[in-house]
Amino acid sequence: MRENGRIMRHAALVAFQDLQGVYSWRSWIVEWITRAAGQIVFFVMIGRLVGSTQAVHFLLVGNVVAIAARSIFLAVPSTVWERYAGTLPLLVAAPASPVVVFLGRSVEWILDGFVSSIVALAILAPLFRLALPWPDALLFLPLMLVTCLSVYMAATFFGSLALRLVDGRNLIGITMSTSLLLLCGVNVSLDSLPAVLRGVAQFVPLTHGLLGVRALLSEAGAGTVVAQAAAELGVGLLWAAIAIFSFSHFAEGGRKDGSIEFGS
Amino acid sequence: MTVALRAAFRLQIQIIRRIPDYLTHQVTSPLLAMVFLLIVKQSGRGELVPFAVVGPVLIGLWATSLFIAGEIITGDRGSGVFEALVATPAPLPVLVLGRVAATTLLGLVTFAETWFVVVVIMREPLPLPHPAIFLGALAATAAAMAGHAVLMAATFVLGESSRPFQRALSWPFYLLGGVMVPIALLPGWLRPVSRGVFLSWSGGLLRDALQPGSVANVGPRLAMILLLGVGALTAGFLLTGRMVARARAVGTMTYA
Repeated sequence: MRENGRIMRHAALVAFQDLQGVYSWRSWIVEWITRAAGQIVFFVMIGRLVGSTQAVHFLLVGNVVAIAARSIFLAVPSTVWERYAGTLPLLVAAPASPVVVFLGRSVEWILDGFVSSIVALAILAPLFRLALPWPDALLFLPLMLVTCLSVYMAATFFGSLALRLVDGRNLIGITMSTSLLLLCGVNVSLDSLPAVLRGVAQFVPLTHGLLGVRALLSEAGAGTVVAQAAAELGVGLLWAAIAIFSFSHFAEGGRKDGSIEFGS
Repeated sequence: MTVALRAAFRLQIQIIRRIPDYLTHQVTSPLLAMVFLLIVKQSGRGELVPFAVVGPVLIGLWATSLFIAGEIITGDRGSGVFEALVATPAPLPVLVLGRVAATTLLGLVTFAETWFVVVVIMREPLPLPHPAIFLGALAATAAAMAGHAVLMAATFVLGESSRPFQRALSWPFYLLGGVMVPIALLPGWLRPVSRGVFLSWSGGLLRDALQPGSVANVGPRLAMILLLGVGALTAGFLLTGRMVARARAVGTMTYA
């Protein structure tokens, strides 16, 4: 356990070094936050188009939370970067499980997504006259943290799939983060979805975290918020288990058929 | 020149077929079409269905060019074939145009996909009251997109990375270009800027062609889309030519 913690800490150090290579503070603010805010405002303006303040606020909250997932699903390509760096065979050959490394290796996107959502809410809530219930609104932070962790577990699993299809890493990551816009009650309420999709959404990260945020901002009661946070955490653990299984299967399969480095 | 154009076109098709990432926007555009349509339907504003159809088509077309065509020259420099390309008798802008044409064709696939999603999967009737205007606007939009893609390829190579350009020219640009929400809903000070973006003209005309009632000023609006496209193509050609001439002169072809 202690060894795993040490490995994850070192993997996280690599992750934050990577983040510094992707963004400087200036480029994060000028490029990423502008792009993220642009995406959120794009959807919010659809609310203006349909002519409803309720829709404007629904879309604003949904997309502020969902923008974190857009960042976190960058864990899919960043998992594949390990293959480009040539370290994958060494990771598989090492005594520790590769999943320990990969769970720490892309944590920079948790921070990126978490901060992006907070900054977006701080900037856009006043702009679109969304009233925040103070001081309860501060619970947005722990709720977002749970949501980001849950999304990250799913992103790590999809990263394991991308290791098998390296030239499809962005396809997988972007498709998954876009699917969340459809499935998780980001842009339309879950009731608007067909029953099958509504059922699937219960096991998709972001759904319960977002329901918790909506409950928090509409002052629906602490019980609902806590229940949704617990459900989001449960979904995250489910995806963590799937990710662990997938990485183990990838490592064992790769050892057997020699496809770790040149499998796709 | 035609031979070079065709060869470049074929090359780009082969590249696209081999890299799944290049189909990203052909996968995500139908998802966005569902999202937009569900928002419109949930609000009870069925008359806005054309907005939900045109939006993902323009996003798919633009994003495909932004992420594939925009990286043509940058990618060639990275893989070390740029010097060889420049050394061939075929003019580089023509080679870029051939590859851009293949990418634009891929971008147009999102139109068929969106139509399929809306009509077949979502079972939403989608009459086409002005087919000639719609197809004319789509063709003009594709031509203008190709012109802008050449300009993207020539511009992105000037930076250390394509990413800043791609971030700036994605969602903020869809908003500015009125691909889903008409520019009349944007703040007044932004509207003149939006008028300079061909997508705002394309979006307006395509939406009008999907709605009953007469469509005003078809000729001038089509001309504006084409004019902005030709302007971008000319700028792209000039920039590519100057970039190659300068790189030849100072001997910094690959790492300029």
